[in-house]
Amino acid sequence: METYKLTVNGQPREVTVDPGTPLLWVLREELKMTGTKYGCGIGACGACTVHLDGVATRSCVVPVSLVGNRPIVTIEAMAEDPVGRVVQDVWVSHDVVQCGYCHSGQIMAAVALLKSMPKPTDTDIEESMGGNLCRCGTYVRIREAIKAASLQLR
Amino acid sequence: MIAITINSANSLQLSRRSFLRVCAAAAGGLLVSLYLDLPLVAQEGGQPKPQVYPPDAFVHIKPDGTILITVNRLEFGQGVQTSLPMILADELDADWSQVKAELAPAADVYKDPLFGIQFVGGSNSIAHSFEQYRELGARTRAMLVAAAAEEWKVSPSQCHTEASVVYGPGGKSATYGKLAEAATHQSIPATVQLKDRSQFRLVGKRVPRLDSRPKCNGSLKFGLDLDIPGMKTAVVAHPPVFGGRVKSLDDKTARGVEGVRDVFEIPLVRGTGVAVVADKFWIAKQARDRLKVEWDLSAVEHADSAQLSAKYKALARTPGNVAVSRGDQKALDAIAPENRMVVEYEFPYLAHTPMEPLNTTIRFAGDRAEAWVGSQFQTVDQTAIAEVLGLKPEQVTFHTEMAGGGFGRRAVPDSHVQREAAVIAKRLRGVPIKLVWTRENDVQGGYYRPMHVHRVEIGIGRDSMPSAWRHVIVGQSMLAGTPFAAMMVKNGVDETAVEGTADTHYNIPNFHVSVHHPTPNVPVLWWRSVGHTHNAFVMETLIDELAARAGIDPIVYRRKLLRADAGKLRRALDLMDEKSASWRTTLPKGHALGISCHESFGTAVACAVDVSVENNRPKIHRATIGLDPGVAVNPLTIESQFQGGIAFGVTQLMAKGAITFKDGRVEQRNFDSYTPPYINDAPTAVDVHIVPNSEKPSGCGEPPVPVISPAVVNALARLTGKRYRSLPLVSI
Amino acid sequence: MQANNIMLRAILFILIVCVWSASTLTGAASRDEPQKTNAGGSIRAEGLAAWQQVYAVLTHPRCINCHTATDYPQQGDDRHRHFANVVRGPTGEGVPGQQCVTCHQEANADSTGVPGAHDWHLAPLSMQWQDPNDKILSSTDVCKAVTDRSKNNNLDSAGLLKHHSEEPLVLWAFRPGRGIDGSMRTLPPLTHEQFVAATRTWAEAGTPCPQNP
Repeated sequence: METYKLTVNGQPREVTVDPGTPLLWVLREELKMTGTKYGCGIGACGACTVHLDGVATRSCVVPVSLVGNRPIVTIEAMAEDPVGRVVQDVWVSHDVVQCGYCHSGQIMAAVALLKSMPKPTDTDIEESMGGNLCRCGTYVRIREAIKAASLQLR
Repeated sequence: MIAITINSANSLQLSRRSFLRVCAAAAGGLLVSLYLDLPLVAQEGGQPKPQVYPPDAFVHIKPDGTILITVNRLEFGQGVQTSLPMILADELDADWSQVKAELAPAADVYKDPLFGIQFVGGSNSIAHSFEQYRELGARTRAMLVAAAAEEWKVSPSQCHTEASVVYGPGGKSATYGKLAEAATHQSIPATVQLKDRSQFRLVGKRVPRLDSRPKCNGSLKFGLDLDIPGMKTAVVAHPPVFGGRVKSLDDKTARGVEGVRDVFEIPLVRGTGVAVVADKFWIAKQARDRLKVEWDLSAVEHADSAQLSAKYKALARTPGNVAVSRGDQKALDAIAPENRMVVEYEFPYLAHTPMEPLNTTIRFAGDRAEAWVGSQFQTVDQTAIAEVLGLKPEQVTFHTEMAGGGFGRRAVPDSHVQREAAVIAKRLRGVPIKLVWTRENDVQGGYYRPMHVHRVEIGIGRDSMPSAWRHVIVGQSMLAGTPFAAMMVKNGVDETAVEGTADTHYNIPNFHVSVHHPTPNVPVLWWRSVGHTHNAFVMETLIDELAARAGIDPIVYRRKLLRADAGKLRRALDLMDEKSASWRTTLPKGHALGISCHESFGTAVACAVDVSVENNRPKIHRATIGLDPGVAVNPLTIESQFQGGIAFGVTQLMAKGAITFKDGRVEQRNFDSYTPPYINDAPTAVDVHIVPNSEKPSGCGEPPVPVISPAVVNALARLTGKRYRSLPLVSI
Repeated sequence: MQANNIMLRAILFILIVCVWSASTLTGAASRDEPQKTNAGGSIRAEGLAAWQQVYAVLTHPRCINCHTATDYPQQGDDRHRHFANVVRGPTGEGVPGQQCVTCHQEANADSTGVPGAHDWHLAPLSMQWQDPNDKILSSTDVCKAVTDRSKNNNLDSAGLLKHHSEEPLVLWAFRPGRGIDGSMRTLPPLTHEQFVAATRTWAEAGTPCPQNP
């Protein structure tokens, strides 16, 4: 067990865990922040996506020992993020979600996309969102919502 | 082992009446009447209200006007948590902005009005509960009106309602919240006048989901997010071949992982396994992966996909149990060889892989237990847990948790996940145990859409239409050994294996369908749209091929071949034809059109797709859908269900869309090797068009799934000249 | 896999240096001293043999999986397409929602099976060692590509040697860590030391490239 000092959504947090523990499980089980989801554990579905120093990151494969001092931002903080808030709002107005389980990750990926590409094309959306699985198949509405958010952010 | 009863179809009406009688007889009147929150008034200070179990409320009108409507189904994306309250609120004339919904726990009163269990399946949530929720709403409204009329000393007929307010003569008005207490003293009306369809204010409108915001900000708790003080997490090692048993266990390294609380062998529905209980999931998983287990696999059959394929193909050359035999069986043999075709299709096992991995939490307290499950089969799972714990079902308080998808995987007749959790919870009495299936457990854990082989011989008549059809289907029965078998397996034919073929809406005069049900050692289960997944593929690709062979437009050919009474399908086809006409005639070079239509779960669907080939994969640029679901309760939900169901159906076409076996072992383990569609695999756009229809509503969860894969390969056939009869679509 | 990228740059650099020195030697030999020609031939043969060793490393999956001709990396010893639709992106580092660092961190994550090293990224298309159908290029073609200064970021010999001995992505290929299933990833056919030594021999021989058969 090791103790790690983390910055999560702007707050300093301290956890004592095995160094190999993925950031996902630190968030969910140590910090009780369950908005970030477990879907596959190998970085293949994107449900666990958080922002690590601004980069969309699959928290299920990143051991806490490799986080360092990079700030962690999760879905729970998106309402306070200017882009995150817009994305959440269009997600609601476009009735995007179904079961909703993958959408924490979808939104985190979409926010990362829009922050670096404010006017994504269909190809940009497919590539950037290309690793986020949705078994309900909400892809058509995800695509529409990202375009709507892009318009609102201009 | 499985103790559930299902009323026969004949007793459905009786069952519904007795249900209502029970409600009316309940002294508290809480079920169909109002569950009045008097304790809440007294405890505005925020003390917890007393828990009552089993519960029976459907409608709960609070003094502040909030209307809490209980949903007797699991919400796992299909939108029932919005649609069922809409139906009730419409008859109630409720102010929609004040309506909230919650999922019902397991209890008799929440069982499906037509079946004797509480479940989601067969796309019947709206179809079966439509009248029930309307009546509940109308009765509740009548009691509120009666309470107002009594107070105002007028006749109820002099009052009318709108947006949670009763209006009376002389400008009198009172809100539902204010009237709620008085309404509890009113008797439940024996009969009630339901609205004419033209009077609906919510039903038929595009009403946004009630659960969007909490699903977008991470605050919504799914079953896996549950956190109970003192809770431990369990992860299980399953045998590598179904039914295998632990021969020897070396758990020294596993027990050495800090935070591990217990390691022990447990019985499974098939064979035995090893459970690891730890403080946290990650610890339990690390320890599980460090177990050294020697398995006894000698007594169980080792399924092998290649061998099964050969066996199924041989079986398909022999007649099976007859599902339908119409006309002259020998008509086929009289047709000239050049007008006959013989084709063979093969479909693999498919896993559901809902995004939220399977899980169940149970606390066993000796004389009672509490369970938290995202379940499509609440009363079935409740009974199974009770059986393992030596309790009666009503001693198990069963909370329905929000579930991250399911597609059939959370409706398992043998409740194997819940039994696993119960066995572990029983050993650790008093400790809440959350059993988590890792994604690897899920992909390799069985309960798949069965593998199938179809062999079809077709004779073509002078009019280019099929005049004789001999069809043999080979695949495991999903229903054999389940409580549904009595109703739906007849003369050795599992209805779900032949649905979509045996009951085809095409007019084929000499039509013969039979089925073999082998029993390899692979647990199987319904997968969104059940037998239609493979039957629609076979029928719709063959009809397309026949149309192409005849040189007739695929829509025209289908119209010609459909039975005269296939009204829903005709209307769906016509609407799709109209809505896709503009793009169908202006396809870019390298693109092709694919058509399919299919009716399932009472809903008719027609599909047109625009497909090209990119990177050796089908690129689906657009799908236009026409559908006839009877009354469209929430067209917005239906649109979403169809867009999503179409994407789900693409699973069948994925290059890695198969579960295969070698020497009894599943060859896939996670989304890297069993890969469902991502955003670039799904259609870029899906436009959904609903036929206006005031007939009773039919299902919308499953009907989109069957049409997409045949439509796409029909388009591919136009591009490549090849016919695709073996899935997954490994190459084009 | 980025190790190979760096390794490639290193090799290219060495090659360039050696091409220069080899031509000098050859020139000298051809002028007047048969003995030297023999010696030169011997050095060249040793160099070619060393190149074959280098080539065996470069074309090992740990290296070549990120030297594709396609817009995506590969993974595994069977060099299959990287899962989850990972793409090259404009700079070989992926795209906003799917960057290499979305999963690959500064070091191997053995608890989750994801490899990592500093600046994980895909080699540029100019350094592709496969054809667009994923067929590995011949020893001659890889050698030519590697020795083409216009493709190797114009590295000098000192830089190349430094890359070989110190670059984290080069080192990664020889310490690739555990995969998703918990087993150790397979290693290139040489140790890192042997690889550096073979490269040195090849470089000292003038980075000779074999003729196409």
